[in-house]
Amino acid sequence: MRKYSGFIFAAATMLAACSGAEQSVDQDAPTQPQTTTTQPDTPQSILVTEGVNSGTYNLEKTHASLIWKVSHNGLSNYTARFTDFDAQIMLDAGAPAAASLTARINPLSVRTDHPSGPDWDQTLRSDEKWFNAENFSEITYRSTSIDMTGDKTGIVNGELTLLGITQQVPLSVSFNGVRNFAWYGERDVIGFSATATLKRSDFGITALLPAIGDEVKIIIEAEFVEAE
Amino acid sequence: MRRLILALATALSLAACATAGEQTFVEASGGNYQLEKTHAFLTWRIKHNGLSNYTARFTEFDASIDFNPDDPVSSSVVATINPLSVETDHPTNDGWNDTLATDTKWFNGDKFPQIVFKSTGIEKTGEFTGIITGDLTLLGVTKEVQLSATYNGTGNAPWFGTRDIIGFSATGTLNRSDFGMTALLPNIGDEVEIIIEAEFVEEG
Repeated sequence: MRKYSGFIFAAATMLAACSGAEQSVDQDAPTQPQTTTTQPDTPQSILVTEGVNSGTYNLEKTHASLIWKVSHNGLSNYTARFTDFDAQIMLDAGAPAAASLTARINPLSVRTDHPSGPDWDQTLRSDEKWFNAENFSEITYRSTSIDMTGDKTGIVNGELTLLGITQQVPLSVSFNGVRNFAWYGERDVIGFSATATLKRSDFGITALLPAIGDEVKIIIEAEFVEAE
Repeated sequence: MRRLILALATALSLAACATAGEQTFVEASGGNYQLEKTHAFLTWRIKHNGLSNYTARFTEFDASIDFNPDDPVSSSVVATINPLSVETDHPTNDGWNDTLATDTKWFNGDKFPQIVFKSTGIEKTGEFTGIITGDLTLLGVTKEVQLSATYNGTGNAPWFGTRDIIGFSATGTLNRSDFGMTALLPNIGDEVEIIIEAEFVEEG
């Protein structure tokens, strides 16, 4: 039996959106932001009530961002990110309870833009006090269940494995809608915004506590494309 | 060197409760502060086809504050951003940063090599929060922009001696069309959200 959980709200939103025009995204011709080439108009419906296909959706990596913030001496929220990660959603529009999300992050891709150069990124990713990527080459997330909190919002419960330790980390997720674009043909594109917080000490990362905060805030923006 | 810094940081962490991050104006010195660039982040987000908030940043910028803890609203801030430092982390297109930085449709950084913000006034909204109004010059166009700022506090670090460190979080929004940047509207949103985290060190 296929394992289904998570992202129930995506499908639920499709149903719920019938009553609310605000759920639709703008109706103008989509274009590809990674180039300056204007694409031909694709006057397809972009209401989320229509056209969200069941199936597998893969992260659209050119429109995906995974930022984390941690308090630095209480003075600022240190802001960094991972630049190499992937995710997949299994979505059954007819059985919204049967959906799942998996994601994996390459800890070597941590990036801080330290002005003095890449040494600090290197330390963060490799030092045993931090992401220890030589020993733990992947950070993974697997959804286990979902709680709807609104027409287009929900809590995805799931397991995060970091430094070999697995803990429950819920994601607060907003479904932003579905659209179709000429360059993906019939394949749907769906978009989400999500946030989460975790305690790094739960995963054994205790270096420089408490000057560097325990609580890590995660901010995710991600589009997914239906698999071919 | 790294070990030394970590050792110092560890030492700091032990004393952190007493020396760092106190959200008070009383402990902060007045005067000029310069951006502490290793703890400063300038992120921006913009709607992409209504599906996600495209998230990027500038990695090279500077700022200084004339800080008056006795009368915070009389403080002022000036900031400059190098538009060529825009960073999107595009996974495959190495040229996308350059396109954004230099294309005449986007930041046109060869012609306009600096984005500048100069505060013109501060209005207090809470004990440690305020609205900073200022002039933003982007693509040669100057418009008023407001930042909603929080003063996170003041602290000290051994490597800065007696020089104080002050920290802020700030957010703001602007319409890029106000500055003439209209490419790909409205699929790429007009409203740009700006998220700033920044520490400043008292001039030595």
